[in-house]
Amino acid sequence: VHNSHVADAATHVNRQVSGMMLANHTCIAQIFQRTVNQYDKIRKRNAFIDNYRKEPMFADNLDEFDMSVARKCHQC
Amino acid sequence: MYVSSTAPNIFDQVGQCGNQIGSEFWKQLCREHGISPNGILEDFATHGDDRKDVFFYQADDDHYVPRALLLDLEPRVVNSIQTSAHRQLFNQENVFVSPEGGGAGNNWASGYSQGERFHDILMDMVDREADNSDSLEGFVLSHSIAGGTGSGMGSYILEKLNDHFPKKLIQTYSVFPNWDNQSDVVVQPYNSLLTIKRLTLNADSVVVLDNTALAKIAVDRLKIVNPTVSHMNSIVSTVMAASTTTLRYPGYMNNDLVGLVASLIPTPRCHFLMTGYTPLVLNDVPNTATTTVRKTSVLDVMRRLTQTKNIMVSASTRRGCYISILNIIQGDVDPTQVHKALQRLRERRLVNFIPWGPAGIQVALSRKSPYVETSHKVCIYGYLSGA
Repeated sequence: VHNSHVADAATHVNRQVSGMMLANHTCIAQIFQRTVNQYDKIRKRNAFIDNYRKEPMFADNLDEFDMSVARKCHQC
Repeated sequence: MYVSSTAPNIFDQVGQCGNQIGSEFWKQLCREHGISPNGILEDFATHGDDRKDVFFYQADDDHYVPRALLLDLEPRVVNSIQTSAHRQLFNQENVFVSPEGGGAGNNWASGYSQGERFHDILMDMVDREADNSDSLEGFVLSHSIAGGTGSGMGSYILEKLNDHFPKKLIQTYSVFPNWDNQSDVVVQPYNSLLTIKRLTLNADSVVVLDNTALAKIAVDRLKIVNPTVSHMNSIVSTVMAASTTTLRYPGYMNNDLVGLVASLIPTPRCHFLMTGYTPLVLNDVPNTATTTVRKTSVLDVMRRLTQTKNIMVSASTRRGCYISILNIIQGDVDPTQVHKALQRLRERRLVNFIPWGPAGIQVALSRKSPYVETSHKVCIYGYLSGA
Protein backbone atom coordinates (compact mmCIF):
# COMPACT_ATOMS: atom_id res chain seq x y z
CA VAL A 1 0.00 0.00 0.00
CA HIS A 2 2.77 2.36 0.99
CA ASN A 3 4.66 1.73 -2.25
CA SER A 4 1.70 2.47 -4.47
CA HIS A 5 1.27 5.78 -2.66
CA VAL A 6 4.82 6.68 -3.52
CA ALA A 7 4.29 5.63 -7.13
CA ASP A 8 1.13 7.75 -7.33
CA ALA A 9 2.97 10.74 -6.01
CA ALA A 10 5.75 10.22 -8.53
CA THR A 11 3.37 9.91 -11.45
CA HIS A 12 1.57 13.02 -10.29
CA VAL A 13 4.76 15.04 -10.23
CA ASN A 14 5.77 13.81 -13.66
CA ARG A 15 2.43 14.69 -15.14
CA GLN A 16 2.86 18.35 -14.40
CA VAL A 17 3.71 20.34 -17.47
CA SER A 18 6.12 23.22 -17.19
CA GLY A 19 7.31 25.66 -19.79
CA MET A 20 10.35 27.74 -20.52
CA MET A 21 10.28 30.62 -22.95
CA LEU A 22 13.25 32.15 -24.73
CA ALA A 23 12.13 35.17 -26.69
CA ASN A 24 13.48 38.02 -28.73
CA HIS A 25 11.30 41.10 -28.12
CA THR A 26 11.83 44.72 -29.04
CA CYS A 27 10.86 45.76 -25.49
CA ILE A 28 14.41 44.91 -24.39
CA ALA A 29 15.31 48.40 -25.65
CA GLN A 30 13.46 49.78 -22.60
CA ILE A 31 16.12 48.25 -20.38
CA PHE A 32 18.91 49.87 -22.39
CA GLN A 33 17.09 53.19 -22.23
CA ARG A 34 16.75 52.90 -18.44
CA THR A 35 20.47 52.14 -18.15
CA VAL A 36 21.33 55.21 -20.21
CA ASN A 37 18.96 57.38 -18.11
CA GLN A 38 20.60 56.16 -14.89
CA TYR A 39 24.02 56.73 -16.44
CA ASP A 40 23.16 60.30 -17.46
CA LYS A 41 22.15 61.08 -13.88
CA ILE A 42 25.49 60.14 -12.32
CA ARG A 43 27.64 61.20 -15.28
CA LYS A 44 26.19 64.73 -15.06
CA ARG A 45 27.78 65.19 -11.66
CA ASN A 46 30.75 62.92 -12.45
CA ALA A 47 30.02 60.81 -9.37
CA PHE A 48 32.97 58.59 -8.36
CA ILE A 49 34.58 59.24 -11.73
CA ASP A 50 38.07 59.53 -10.18
CA ASN A 51 38.13 55.78 -9.52
CA TYR A 52 37.80 55.25 -13.25
CA ARG A 53 40.41 57.89 -14.16
CA LYS A 54 42.95 55.86 -12.17
CA GLU A 55 42.75 53.07 -14.73
CA PRO A 56 44.60 53.12 -18.08
CA MET A 57 41.48 53.22 -20.26
CA PHE A 58 40.26 56.46 -18.66
CA ALA A 59 43.61 58.04 -17.73
CA ASP A 60 43.61 60.57 -20.57
CA ASN A 61 39.93 61.15 -21.19
CA LEU A 62 36.44 59.74 -20.67
CA ASP A 63 35.80 59.04 -24.36
CA GLU A 64 35.13 55.36 -23.73
CA PHE A 65 32.11 56.27 -21.58
CA ASP A 66 30.66 58.74 -24.05
CA MET A 67 31.27 56.47 -27.02
CA SER A 68 29.45 53.64 -25.29
CA VAL A 69 26.38 55.84 -24.95
CA ALA A 70 26.49 56.86 -28.59
CA ARG A 71 26.70 53.22 -29.59
CA LYS A 72 23.66 52.36 -27.48
CA CYS A 73 21.46 55.20 -28.63
CA HIS A 74 22.25 54.40 -32.24
CA GLN A 75 20.92 50.88 -31.66
CA CYS A 76 17.72 51.92 -29.90
CA MET B 1 19.11 8.99 -31.24
CA TYR B 2 18.87 11.56 -34.04
CA VAL B 3 22.05 13.37 -33.29
CA SER B 4 25.15 13.06 -35.39
CA SER B 5 27.79 14.58 -33.21
CA THR B 6 28.28 16.44 -30.01
CA ALA B 7 29.16 20.11 -29.94
CA PRO B 8 30.84 20.87 -26.66
CA ASN B 9 30.72 24.31 -25.06
CA ILE B 10 33.11 25.89 -22.59
CA PHE B 11 31.48 27.63 -19.66
CA ASP B 12 33.31 30.68 -18.27
CA GLN B 13 32.02 31.95 -14.94
CA VAL B 14 33.46 35.34 -14.03
CA GLY B 15 33.19 37.34 -10.80
CA GLN B 16 31.18 36.75 -7.65
CA CYS B 17 27.76 36.68 -9.28
CA GLY B 18 29.00 34.69 -12.27
CA ASN B 19 30.53 32.05 -10.03
CA GLN B 20 27.49 31.88 -7.77
CA ILE B 21 25.01 31.32 -10.60
CA GLY B 22 27.56 29.14 -12.37
CA SER B 23 27.93 26.79 -9.42
CA GLU B 24 24.12 26.57 -9.07
CA PHE B 25 23.94 25.74 -12.78
CA TRP B 26 26.47 22.91 -12.38
CA LYS B 27 24.63 21.52 -9.34
CA GLN B 28 21.44 21.46 -11.39
CA LEU B 29 23.17 19.79 -14.36
CA CYS B 30 24.64 17.12 -12.07
CA ARG B 31 21.18 16.39 -10.66
CA GLU B 32 19.64 16.18 -14.13
CA HIS B 33 22.32 13.93 -15.59
CA GLY B 34 22.64 11.68 -12.53
CA ILE B 35 26.19 12.77 -11.79
CA SER B 36 27.21 12.76 -8.13
CA PRO B 37 28.78 15.89 -6.54
CA ASN B 38 32.24 14.38 -7.00
CA GLY B 39 31.68 13.63 -10.69
CA ILE B 40 30.83 9.93 -10.59
CA LEU B 41 27.90 8.71 -12.64
CA GLU B 42 25.20 7.27 -10.36
CA ASP B 43 24.28 3.61 -10.90
CA PHE B 44 20.73 4.56 -11.89
CA ALA B 45 22.01 6.86 -14.64
CA THR B 46 24.33 4.56 -16.57
CA HIS B 47 21.86 3.93 -19.40
CA GLY B 48 20.86 7.51 -20.09
CA ASP B 49 20.74 8.72 -23.70
CA ASP B 50 21.41 12.30 -22.66
CA ARG B 51 24.40 14.23 -23.93
CA LYS B 52 26.54 14.85 -20.89
CA ASP B 53 29.49 15.72 -23.11
CA VAL B 54 28.08 19.09 -24.18
CA PHE B 55 29.13 20.54 -20.83
CA PHE B 56 31.21 17.71 -19.27
CA TYR B 57 34.10 15.55 -20.39
CA GLN B 58 35.26 12.28 -18.92
CA ALA B 59 38.63 12.16 -17.20
CA ASP B 60 40.89 9.12 -17.49
CA ASP B 61 39.33 7.65 -14.37
CA ASP B 62 35.81 8.09 -15.86
CA HIS B 63 34.96 11.02 -13.63
CA TYR B 64 32.75 13.62 -15.30
CA VAL B 65 34.47 17.01 -15.25
CA PRO B 66 32.67 20.27 -16.14
CA ARG B 67 34.08 22.18 -19.11
CA ALA B 68 34.13 25.17 -16.79
CA LEU B 69 36.54 27.97 -16.00
CA LEU B 70 36.08 29.61 -12.60
CA LEU B 71 37.56 33.11 -12.74
CA ASP B 72 37.53 35.79 -10.06
CA LEU B 73 39.62 38.63 -8.66
CA GLU B 74 38.77 37.87 -5.04
CA PRO B 75 38.68 34.49 -3.34
CA ARG B 76 35.44 34.42 -1.33
CA VAL B 77 32.95 32.80 -3.73
CA VAL B 78 35.46 30.48 -5.42
CA ASN B 79 36.64 29.35 -1.98
CA SER B 80 33.08 28.54 -0.97
CA ILE B 81 32.75 26.37 -4.09
CA GLN B 82 36.11 24.74 -3.27
CA THR B 83 34.89 23.77 0.20
CA SER B 84 31.38 22.69 -0.86
CA ALA B 85 30.15 19.15 -1.58
CA HIS B 86 31.09 19.78 -5.24
CA ARG B 87 34.73 20.66 -4.47
CA GLN B 88 36.05 17.61 -6.36
CA LEU B 89 33.87 18.23 -9.40
CA PHE B 90 35.89 20.99 -11.02
CA ASN B 91 39.29 20.76 -12.67
CA GLN B 92 41.63 22.58 -10.28
CA GLU B 93 43.70 23.83 -13.24
CA ASN B 94 40.63 25.75 -14.42
CA VAL B 95 40.34 27.89 -11.31
CA PHE B 96 41.83 31.36 -11.34
CA VAL B 97 41.75 33.76 -8.41
CA SER B 98 43.91 36.87 -8.54
CA PRO B 99 46.95 36.47 -6.28
CA GLU B 100 46.28 39.94 -4.82
CA GLY B 101 42.74 38.87 -4.07
CA GLY B 102 41.54 42.44 -3.74
CA GLY B 103 38.69 42.21 -6.25
CA ALA B 104 37.79 45.05 -8.60
CA GLY B 105 35.99 47.29 -6.12
CA ASN B 106 32.81 47.52 -8.21
CA ASN B 107 34.89 49.29 -10.84
CA TRP B 108 34.55 48.08 -14.44
CA ALA B 109 37.82 49.78 -15.42
CA SER B 110 39.71 47.97 -12.65
CA GLY B 111 38.26 44.61 -13.68
CA TYR B 112 39.10 45.31 -17.33
CA SER B 113 42.70 46.33 -16.69
CA GLN B 114 43.26 43.35 -14.37
CA GLY B 115 41.93 41.14 -17.16
CA GLU B 116 44.57 42.73 -19.39
CA ARG B 117 47.26 42.15 -16.76
CA PHE B 118 46.36 38.47 -16.35
CA HIS B 119 45.82 38.02 -20.10
CA ASP B 120 48.39 35.25 -20.53
CA ILE B 121 47.19 33.14 -17.62
CA LEU B 122 43.54 33.52 -18.61
CA MET B 123 44.04 32.77 -22.30
CA ASP B 124 46.27 29.78 -21.50
CA MET B 125 43.41 28.34 -19.47
CA VAL B 126 40.94 29.00 -22.29
CA ASP B 127 43.28 27.50 -24.92
CA ARG B 128 43.96 24.39 -22.85
CA GLU B 129 40.25 23.78 -22.33
CA ALA B 130 39.53 24.48 -26.02
CA ASP B 131 42.24 21.99 -27.10
CA ASN B 132 40.59 19.48 -24.83
CA SER B 133 37.23 19.81 -26.63
CA ASP B 134 36.97 18.19 -30.05
CA SER B 135 34.77 20.19 -32.43
CA LEU B 136 34.27 22.94 -29.87
CA GLU B 137 31.08 24.83 -30.65
CA GLY B 138 31.45 27.90 -28.51
CA PHE B 139 31.64 29.64 -25.19
CA VAL B 140 29.07 30.39 -22.54
CA LEU B 141 29.83 33.22 -20.12
CA SER B 142 27.99 33.83 -16.85
CA HIS B 143 28.51 37.16 -15.12
CA SER B 144 26.86 40.28 -13.76
CA ILE B 145 27.06 43.47 -15.80
CA ALA B 146 26.99 45.96 -12.91
CA GLY B 147 29.86 45.02 -10.56
CA GLY B 148 33.60 45.12 -11.23
CA THR B 149 34.95 41.68 -12.07
CA GLY B 150 32.12 40.01 -14.02
CA SER B 151 31.49 43.26 -15.87
CA GLY B 152 35.06 44.51 -16.42
CA MET B 153 37.11 41.33 -16.64
CA GLY B 154 34.09 39.66 -18.29
CA SER B 155 34.14 42.39 -20.97
CA TYR B 156 37.86 41.87 -21.51
CA ILE B 157 37.39 38.12 -21.87
CA LEU B 158 34.51 38.62 -24.33
CA GLU B 159 36.72 40.79 -26.53
CA LYS B 160 39.59 38.31 -26.43
CA LEU B 161 37.40 35.27 -27.09
CA ASN B 162 36.01 37.08 -30.11
CA ASP B 163 39.56 37.84 -31.35
CA HIS B 164 41.00 34.38 -30.74
CA PHE B 165 38.00 32.30 -31.78
CA PRO B 166 36.24 34.33 -34.47
CA LYS B 167 34.26 31.32 -35.72
CA LYS B 168 33.05 30.12 -32.32
CA LEU B 169 29.70 31.13 -30.92
CA ILE B 170 29.64 33.25 -27.78
CA GLN B 171 26.55 33.17 -25.61
CA THR B 172 26.23 34.93 -22.27
CA TYR B 173 23.98 34.71 -19.26
CA SER B 174 24.15 38.29 -18.10
CA VAL B 175 22.64 39.44 -14.82
CA PHE B 176 21.23 42.96 -15.16
CA PRO B 177 21.02 45.05 -11.95
CA ASN B 178 17.97 45.73 -9.82
CA TRP B 179 17.30 49.43 -10.40
CA ASP B 180 14.53 49.42 -7.75
CA ASN B 181 17.04 48.62 -5.03
CA GLN B 182 18.37 51.99 -3.88
CA SER B 183 20.89 50.45 -1.51
CA ASP B 184 22.85 49.00 -4.42
CA VAL B 185 26.09 50.52 -5.62
CA VAL B 186 25.88 54.03 -7.12
CA VAL B 187 28.28 53.31 -9.99
CA GLN B 188 26.22 50.41 -11.42
CA PRO B 189 25.11 52.50 -14.44
CA TYR B 190 28.75 53.19 -15.42
CA ASN B 191 29.65 49.51 -15.24
CA SER B 192 26.45 48.34 -16.93
CA LEU B 193 26.80 50.71 -19.86
CA LEU B 194 30.41 49.72 -20.53
CA THR B 195 29.50 46.02 -20.36
CA ILE B 196 26.43 46.36 -22.57
CA LYS B 197 28.67 47.80 -25.28
CA ARG B 198 30.78 44.57 -25.23
CA LEU B 199 27.67 42.40 -25.09
CA THR B 200 26.44 44.21 -28.19
CA LEU B 201 29.70 43.97 -30.12
CA ASN B 202 31.30 40.73 -28.91
CA ALA B 203 28.51 38.27 -28.11
CA ASP B 204 26.31 36.31 -30.49
CA SER B 205 23.51 35.84 -28.01
CA VAL B 206 22.80 37.34 -24.59
CA VAL B 207 20.26 35.82 -22.22
CA VAL B 208 19.18 38.76 -20.08
CA LEU B 209 18.67 37.79 -16.43
CA ASP B 210 16.98 40.88 -15.09
CA ASN B 211 17.26 41.23 -11.31
CA THR B 212 14.61 43.96 -11.23
CA ALA B 213 12.10 41.48 -12.66
CA LEU B 214 13.41 38.47 -10.72
CA ALA B 215 13.06 40.30 -7.38
CA LYS B 216 9.47 41.20 -8.27
CA ILE B 217 8.70 37.60 -9.23
CA ALA B 218 10.23 36.32 -5.97
CA VAL B 219 8.03 38.66 -3.92
CA ASP B 220 4.79 38.61 -5.93
CA ARG B 221 4.77 35.05 -7.25
CA LEU B 222 6.87 33.01 -4.84
CA LYS B 223 5.69 35.01 -1.80
CA ILE B 224 9.20 35.43 -0.43
CA VAL B 225 9.11 38.59 1.70
CA ASN B 226 12.80 39.45 1.51
CA PRO B 227 14.34 37.53 -1.38
CA THR B 228 18.04 36.80 -0.84
CA VAL B 229 20.83 36.40 -3.36
CA SER B 230 20.51 32.63 -3.07
CA HIS B 231 16.78 32.80 -3.90
CA MET B 232 17.57 34.81 -7.02
CA ASN B 233 20.39 32.45 -7.98
CA SER B 234 18.07 29.51 -7.61
CA ILE B 235 15.62 31.04 -10.10
CA VAL B 236 18.48 31.90 -12.43
CA SER B 237 19.97 28.40 -12.37
CA THR B 238 16.55 26.88 -13.13
CA VAL B 239 16.27 29.15 -16.14
CA MET B 240 19.84 28.47 -17.29
CA ALA B 241 19.44 24.70 -17.02
CA ALA B 242 16.05 24.76 -18.77
CA SER B 243 17.38 26.91 -21.61
CA THR B 244 20.12 24.37 -22.33
CA THR B 245 17.90 21.26 -22.36
CA THR B 246 17.67 21.23 -26.14
CA LEU B 247 21.48 21.04 -26.27
CA ARG B 248 21.79 18.33 -23.64
CA TYR B 249 19.11 15.94 -24.89
CA PRO B 250 18.92 14.61 -28.44
CA GLY B 251 16.13 15.87 -30.63
CA TYR B 252 15.12 17.04 -34.08
CA MET B 253 15.92 20.73 -33.73
CA ASN B 254 17.99 23.18 -31.71
CA ASN B 255 20.49 20.42 -30.92
CA ASP B 256 23.31 22.88 -30.82
CA LEU B 257 23.89 26.47 -29.88
CA VAL B 258 24.17 27.44 -33.56
CA GLY B 259 20.68 26.10 -34.28
CA LEU B 260 19.21 27.63 -31.14
CA VAL B 261 20.70 31.03 -31.87
CA ALA B 262 19.74 30.89 -35.54
CA SER B 263 16.11 30.17 -34.68
CA LEU B 264 15.88 33.06 -32.22
CA ILE B 265 18.10 35.69 -33.78
CA PRO B 266 17.23 36.56 -37.40
CA THR B 267 19.35 39.73 -37.41
CA PRO B 268 22.73 39.50 -35.67
CA ARG B 269 22.57 42.79 -33.76
CA CYS B 270 19.21 42.05 -32.09
CA HIS B 271 20.57 39.27 -29.91
CA PHE B 272 19.34 40.13 -26.42
CA LEU B 273 16.90 37.43 -25.29
CA MET B 274 14.38 37.48 -22.46
CA THR B 275 13.07 34.48 -20.57
CA GLY B 276 9.87 33.23 -19.01
CA TYR B 277 9.19 30.19 -16.85
CA THR B 278 6.12 28.51 -15.40
CA PRO B 279 5.40 27.16 -12.85
CA LEU B 280 8.32 28.43 -10.79
CA VAL B 281 9.41 26.36 -7.81
CA LEU B 282 12.55 26.99 -5.84
CA ASN B 283 14.79 24.14 -4.73
CA ASP B 284 14.68 23.81 -0.97
CA VAL B 285 12.09 26.56 -0.57
CA PRO B 286 8.61 25.37 0.34
CA ASN B 287 5.99 27.59 -1.22
CA THR B 288 2.50 27.60 -2.55
CA ALA B 289 3.22 28.54 -6.12
CA THR B 290 2.95 24.99 -7.47
CA THR B 291 -0.28 24.20 -5.73
CA THR B 292 -1.91 27.36 -7.03
CA VAL B 293 -1.17 26.30 -10.60
CA ARG B 294 -3.77 23.59 -11.08
CA LYS B 295 -4.41 23.42 -14.77
CA THR B 296 -1.37 22.36 -16.67
CA SER B 297 -2.51 21.77 -20.24
CA VAL B 298 -0.16 22.85 -23.01
CA LEU B 299 -2.42 25.78 -23.83
CA ASP B 300 -2.36 26.94 -20.20
CA VAL B 301 1.41 26.72 -20.02
CA MET B 302 1.87 28.53 -23.33
CA ARG B 303 -0.65 31.20 -22.39
CA ARG B 304 1.03 31.73 -19.03
CA LEU B 305 4.37 32.17 -20.80
CA THR B 306 2.93 35.15 -22.66
CA GLN B 307 1.75 36.83 -19.43
CA THR B 308 3.86 39.70 -18.14
CA LYS B 309 3.95 38.29 -14.60
CA ASN B 310 5.82 35.18 -15.77
CA ILE B 311 8.25 37.01 -18.03
CA MET B 312 11.57 37.72 -16.35
CA VAL B 313 12.22 41.12 -17.77
CA SER B 314 11.34 44.52 -16.34
CA ALA B 315 9.99 45.91 -19.58
CA SER B 316 6.48 45.97 -20.97
CA THR B 317 5.84 43.47 -23.75
CA ARG B 318 2.72 45.47 -24.59
CA ARG B 319 5.00 47.98 -26.23
CA GLY B 320 6.79 46.70 -29.31
CA CYS B 321 6.59 43.18 -30.65
CA TYR B 322 8.12 39.73 -30.65
CA ILE B 323 10.88 38.96 -33.15
CA SER B 324 10.91 35.27 -32.19
CA ILE B 325 9.74 32.86 -29.50
CA LEU B 326 10.93 29.40 -28.51
CA ASN B 327 8.79 27.57 -25.97
CA ILE B 328 10.38 24.52 -24.37
CA ILE B 329 7.48 22.51 -22.95
CA GLN B 330 8.51 19.92 -20.36
CA GLY B 331 6.40 16.97 -19.32
CA ASP B 332 4.28 14.30 -20.95
CA VAL B 333 2.37 16.12 -23.61
CA ASP B 334 0.21 15.00 -26.50
CA PRO B 335 1.71 16.64 -29.61
CA THR B 336 -1.77 17.34 -31.01
CA GLN B 337 -2.34 19.62 -28.02
CA VAL B 338 0.49 21.77 -29.27
CA HIS B 339 -1.24 22.31 -32.63
CA LYS B 340 -4.43 23.32 -30.86
CA ALA B 341 -2.63 25.60 -28.42
CA LEU B 342 -0.79 27.41 -31.21
CA GLN B 343 -4.06 27.87 -33.08
CA ARG B 344 -5.82 29.33 -30.01
CA LEU B 345 -2.96 31.70 -29.28
CA ARG B 346 -3.11 32.89 -32.88
CA GLU B 347 -6.90 33.31 -32.87
CA ARG B 348 -6.82 35.37 -29.71
CA ARG B 349 -3.91 37.43 -30.98
CA LEU B 350 -2.14 37.02 -27.65
CA VAL B 351 1.24 37.37 -29.25
CA ASN B 352 2.27 40.28 -31.40
CA PHE B 353 4.96 39.47 -33.98
CA ILE B 354 7.09 41.63 -36.25
CA PRO B 355 5.40 42.22 -39.61
CA TRP B 356 8.57 41.18 -41.50
CA GLY B 357 10.07 37.70 -41.57
CA PRO B 358 8.68 34.22 -40.95
CA ALA B 359 7.69 34.81 -37.35
CA GLY B 360 5.98 32.20 -35.23
CA ILE B 361 6.11 30.38 -31.94
CA GLN B 362 8.56 27.50 -32.08
CA VAL B 363 7.84 24.66 -29.70
CA ALA B 364 10.25 22.07 -28.33
CA LEU B 365 8.49 19.24 -26.49
CA SER B 366 10.30 17.44 -23.72
CA ARG B 367 9.90 14.53 -21.32
CA LYS B 368 10.69 14.85 -17.63
CA SER B 369 13.97 13.39 -16.45
CA PRO B 370 13.73 10.13 -14.51
CA TYR B 371 16.25 11.49 -12.00
CA VAL B 372 14.79 14.83 -10.90
CA GLU B 373 11.21 16.00 -10.77
CA THR B 374 12.02 19.50 -12.03
CA SER B 375 14.01 18.17 -14.94
CA HIS B 376 13.26 17.19 -18.48
CA LYS B 377 14.22 14.85 -21.22
CA VAL B 378 13.77 16.27 -24.61
CA CYS B 379 12.04 14.88 -27.63
CA ILE B 380 11.59 17.72 -29.97
CA TYR B 381 8.95 18.78 -32.44
CA GLY B 382 9.31 21.89 -34.52
CA TYR B 383 6.30 24.00 -35.32
CA LEU B 384 6.14 27.24 -37.16
CA SER B 385 2.82 28.97 -36.88
CA GLY B 386 2.23 31.71 -39.40
CA ALA B 387 1.97 35.01 -37.57
